[in-house]
Amino acid sequence: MSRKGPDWLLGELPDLVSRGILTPDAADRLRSHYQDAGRPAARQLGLTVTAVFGSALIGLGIILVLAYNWEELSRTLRAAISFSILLIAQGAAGWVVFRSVPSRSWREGTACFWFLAVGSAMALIAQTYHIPGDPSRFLLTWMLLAVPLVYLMRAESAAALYLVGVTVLGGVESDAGEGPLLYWVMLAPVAPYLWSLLRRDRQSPGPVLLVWIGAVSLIFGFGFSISESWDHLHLAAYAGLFSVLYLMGRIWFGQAPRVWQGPLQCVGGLGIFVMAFGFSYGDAWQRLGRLGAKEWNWTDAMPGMVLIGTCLALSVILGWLSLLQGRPQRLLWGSFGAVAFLAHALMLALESTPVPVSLLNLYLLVAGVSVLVRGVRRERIGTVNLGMLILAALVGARFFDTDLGLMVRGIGFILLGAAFLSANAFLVRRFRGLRPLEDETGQTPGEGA
Amino acid sequence: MIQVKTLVFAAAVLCQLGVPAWMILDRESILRDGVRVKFRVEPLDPRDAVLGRHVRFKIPASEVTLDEAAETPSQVRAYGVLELDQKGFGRFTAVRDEPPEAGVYLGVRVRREGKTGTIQLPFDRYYLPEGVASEAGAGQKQALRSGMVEAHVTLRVHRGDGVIEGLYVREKPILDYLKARTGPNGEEGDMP
Repeated sequence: MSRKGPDWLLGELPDLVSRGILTPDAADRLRSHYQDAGRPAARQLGLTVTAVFGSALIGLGIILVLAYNWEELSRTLRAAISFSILLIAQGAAGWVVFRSVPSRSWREGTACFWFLAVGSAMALIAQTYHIPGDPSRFLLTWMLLAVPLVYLMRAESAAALYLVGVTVLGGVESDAGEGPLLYWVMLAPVAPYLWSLLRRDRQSPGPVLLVWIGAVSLIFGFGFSISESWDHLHLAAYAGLFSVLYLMGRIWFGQAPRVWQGPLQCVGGLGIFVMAFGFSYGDAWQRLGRLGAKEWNWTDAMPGMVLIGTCLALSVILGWLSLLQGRPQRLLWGSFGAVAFLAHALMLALESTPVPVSLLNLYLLVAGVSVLVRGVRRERIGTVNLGMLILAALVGARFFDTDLGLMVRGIGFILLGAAFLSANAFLVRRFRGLRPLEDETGQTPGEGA
Repeated sequence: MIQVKTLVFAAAVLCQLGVPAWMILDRESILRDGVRVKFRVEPLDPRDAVLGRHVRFKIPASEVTLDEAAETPSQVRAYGVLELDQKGFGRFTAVRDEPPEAGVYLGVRVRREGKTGTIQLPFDRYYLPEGVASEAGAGQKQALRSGMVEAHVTLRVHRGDGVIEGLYVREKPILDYLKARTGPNGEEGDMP
């Protein structure tokens, strides 16, 4: 539990007692109940974080000490040291697993140390024998050997390291000109763990952090999967991905009390805004038009086509689920994939950029206004400000994008800024006293849509 | 009855110990049974000859004539057949798709273009103790960079696999060469 709610309530108690809403006795009981609310969870989180960082630092420190490559040590001795570090990590992990150690910080810290020990043992032996660098093979072996410890330790730190490792592996493979299959296949072993974790708990820091890492990893994964020569596919695929992430976030993390506890809608919403803003410029479309002259190659394009198809299908299903839940407003942001697809089709059909540019500008305008209106209706100043920010970005971009004179632009900015401040002051006055916790509802980008 | 958790833990531990153990046994067997082959190395990396913990080097690519011309340029895994001269330096003479039954050969990646196969060996680094590497000093690095010194690497080659045995500068192991160039207190000796 967060401290903000209880702290606010404790501050209100004297006023509630003085106004006769609560008896002093009831106020004391509430004070006693909420005095330490949230503190055990915060303390636990602090312990876990320090345990993970501590064990990671020790593990990395040992690697560096051994990497000194002591010339006095024989190959046998160096190998023995490498093994002993791994054995210590395995022994500690065995103690945690089989003695059912309840301490979460021990579990997370040990898992982190074990994970690093597996990689360091291989790396140090590779160094001892001057084995040529093959990062792809090294990472693949390391990750495969580390999969069981994610399940044995039930540790989010191990799963997080695994996701990072697989993403780096995907990047290494992509750099070497290999296909994206390995990246997607390697995500599969931890998928059941993530699924079971999220079914149990979607708001604790551990699972939320994993979803953040997973969402960012998917952004890279899409990049690995689409050949660089096919920028057309990048547009549709990323637009689809961000729409799917946004809708999934709204459906499964919609009740998140804090912004950071809604990773999918944050990544999806931010991605949609950045893409829509980028393609509201004519230059972005003209660049696509030039690249479109390349000869089509099905083999290169296939992974991207599969991803686009999957995203479109998922968007439809998630949009339908949103309608069933009575939340049609989600479709404005969730339909970005379809809007980008339509704009792209129009550009290819008409062979001109003004139409898709206008469509994207219109989309941002509608999105900004609807966020603003929704913020006003729900009396959420954060959402109102978000809507105004979207509109300000759009208007500001068009000011720089056009050939208007400096005087006109300057006056425009002054008027826009004044409107911003006036609206904010008006809303603060209107909301004051009505909703003391108005900004603590954790609304994320796009909520107003 | 043994729990699934116990079995998974035991399997994980064995695999995690097995992979590095296999790496060691494999390399040790090559070092023990392999044939020693020398390769000249190109002047060491012009920017970072001694990177603190390892020396980078490059074995020049070898070109061999293929039995059959490749229709399109491609890169394949194959076996390069080695011939040794009197001083023990190796030279690729042919490329085979399957491991030869006799002789010295290395598993390599071959770039095929027409009748020409280009072999680039993957060996490119030799680890050094950090202290020695950093004490080697700018003079030695300069000498290595500029190619003023002759250097070669020795591999042990066995059944298509190779392990670096040593890196030599002017016929001396690189460690001895660097130490000889550095005084007892780390000061630089004469330039080579």
